[in-house]
Amino acid sequence: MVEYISLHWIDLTIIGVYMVGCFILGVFTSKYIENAGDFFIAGKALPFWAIAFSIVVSDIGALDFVGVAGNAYRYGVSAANFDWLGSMPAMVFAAFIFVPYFWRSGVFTIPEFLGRRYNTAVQVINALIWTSVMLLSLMIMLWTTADDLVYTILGYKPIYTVWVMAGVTGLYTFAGGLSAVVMTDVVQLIVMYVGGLALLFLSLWEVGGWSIMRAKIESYGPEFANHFTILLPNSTENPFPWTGIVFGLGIVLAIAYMSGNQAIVHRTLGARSEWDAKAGMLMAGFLKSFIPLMVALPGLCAIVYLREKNIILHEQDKVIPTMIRMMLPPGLRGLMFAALFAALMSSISGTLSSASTIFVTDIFNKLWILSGRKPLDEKQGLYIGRGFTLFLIISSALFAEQISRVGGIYNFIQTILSLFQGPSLAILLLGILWKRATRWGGLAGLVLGVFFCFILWCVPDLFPAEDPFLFVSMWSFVFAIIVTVVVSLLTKPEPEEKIRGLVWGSVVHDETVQKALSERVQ
Amino acid sequence: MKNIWTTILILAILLISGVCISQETNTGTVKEIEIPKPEVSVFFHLGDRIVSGWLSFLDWLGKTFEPIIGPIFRPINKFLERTYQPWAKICALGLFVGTMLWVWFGMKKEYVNLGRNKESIWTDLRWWTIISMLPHIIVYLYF
Repeated sequence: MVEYISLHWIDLTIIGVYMVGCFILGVFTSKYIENAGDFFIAGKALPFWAIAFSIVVSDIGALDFVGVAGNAYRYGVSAANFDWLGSMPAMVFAAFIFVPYFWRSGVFTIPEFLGRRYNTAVQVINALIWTSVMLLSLMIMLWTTADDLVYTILGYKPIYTVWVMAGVTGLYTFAGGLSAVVMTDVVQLIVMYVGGLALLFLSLWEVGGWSIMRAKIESYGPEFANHFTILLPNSTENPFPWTGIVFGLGIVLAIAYMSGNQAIVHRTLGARSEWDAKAGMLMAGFLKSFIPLMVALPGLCAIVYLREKNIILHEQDKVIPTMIRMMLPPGLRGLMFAALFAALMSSISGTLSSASTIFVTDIFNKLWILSGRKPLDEKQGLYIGRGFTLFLIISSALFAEQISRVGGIYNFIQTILSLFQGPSLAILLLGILWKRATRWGGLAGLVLGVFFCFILWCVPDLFPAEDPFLFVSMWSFVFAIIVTVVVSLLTKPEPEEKIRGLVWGSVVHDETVQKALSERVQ
Repeated sequence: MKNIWTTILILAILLISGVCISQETNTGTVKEIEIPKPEVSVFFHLGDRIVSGWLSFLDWLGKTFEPIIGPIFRPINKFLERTYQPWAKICALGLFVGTMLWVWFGMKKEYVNLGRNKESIWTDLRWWTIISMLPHIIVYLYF
């Protein structure tokens, strides 16, 4: 018999005030939106703290609350690696290598940068891949929250939740673009931290504190022997062996994600100064240190809490919903739901904004020019951007259920990302650091790198993990580097004037780029 | 501004209507279940063919490349299987400490702080890096 909870009026008031507040705040910013630059990169006026808040809350979705807590419940603290080793070093690297670079070159998107550095094919392939991944992520995010959280706990039909979430978030992103996304993100981060920390402290309180919880879990037998080991041996039968975590996640996947993911880097492109862009990234890394406390530790507490209540969960993704249902009193439950909605809405709005920026800049504008027309002007860019935002959110809501039926939600997205994160990082890195990288080298590195990923996936038992996405990204990165270098050396070097301002060193002091950038800001 | 509000209102009405319509057509009773129309069946059939073709291709890919890449990766895995602590901890901590050292000693102070409004210890991003890294180092030492 499924047991649902009916929300107290206090909970409903908290959720209602939060939703309406976010909607009004988001739509209010639309009065500052006059052209494509305002819509896509917030008129380059964002301060570092807003960038930091926005990066953290966009990166952490309701998916993480559910997925990481579930992984911690099943595998232990090693699940937290994604927010610790998988964030800070990569964010420092992004802050000092990639971000100043993108910011100074004045681009709207990362594919746009790749297009300038290599060629249109690289730009369009990269843009198509990212737009598809973002669309998939949107659908999965929407359905996970609606089905695994809201339906499990409250019994509301998932389709209603999907449309309400999509409606509120889609409308304010449609109206205010990146400014609306960032302003609402600031509020959403505060709500998310308050709700998440409330769940953490209550979970720890219920199981008697950290030391008691740890001792109890370790006494449950060999199945839990590795639950407090953050770096697991290679022979382990789980997806997070240490070599995959350190080399696949820490060096490749995390850097690719923090530096090459439009949804993350997008906010820094809207920074009011280069210092704000870098500082925003660093502060985001610091704030992200606390995320595993809110998402992974409740998963560990659940092992003790649910065992003592004689509850056996067969699906790890049901851990957080069950904890909320059984543990939180009225008021806190509303706050926790507001936190989960905050996590979801910020991720949706961030993804929407980034996907529409990529679509307009790298796909639509290219097709527009190919059809013999002049490039889109600022007003046209704004209208097309808004139109695509709307299309994206409606199609996500319509197909969310079908797409999300694919099992292992969190690992599924990581798997999709790992297919091209390695090759993308390889060409991005070489494009910035190596003057000799050519357009053909970049194209070959990207295409053959992604093809190599498929091969690695298809050969059985190649890596020591159930789900080898960490190893696939690591080796595809190495392979794409080799291909790009070899093909570049075999082809004609790029002319000096083409890569001026796009390669390490020249961008920092290039007057032409700086002049163009100042004009864009004005 | 006025246009935006009007657009939002129209979209909200369309959205709510869409949801209501989709709900009306999805209340599945036995009577309402129908055999898919021919044109829909064709799409499903085509979809099935594409998916099964794709899966056969992946299967072929695995079988074809296994003899080539298997002998390269399996010895590497065997070697890594024997490698664990203290190397795991050294590599993880090395990543954090190495990044800190790179920012502090490997880059010029002017480059790190380029674009700041006023010069002070609070706006020095090298210190920000150290402070942001410390909680992570503590965590990896503890676990």
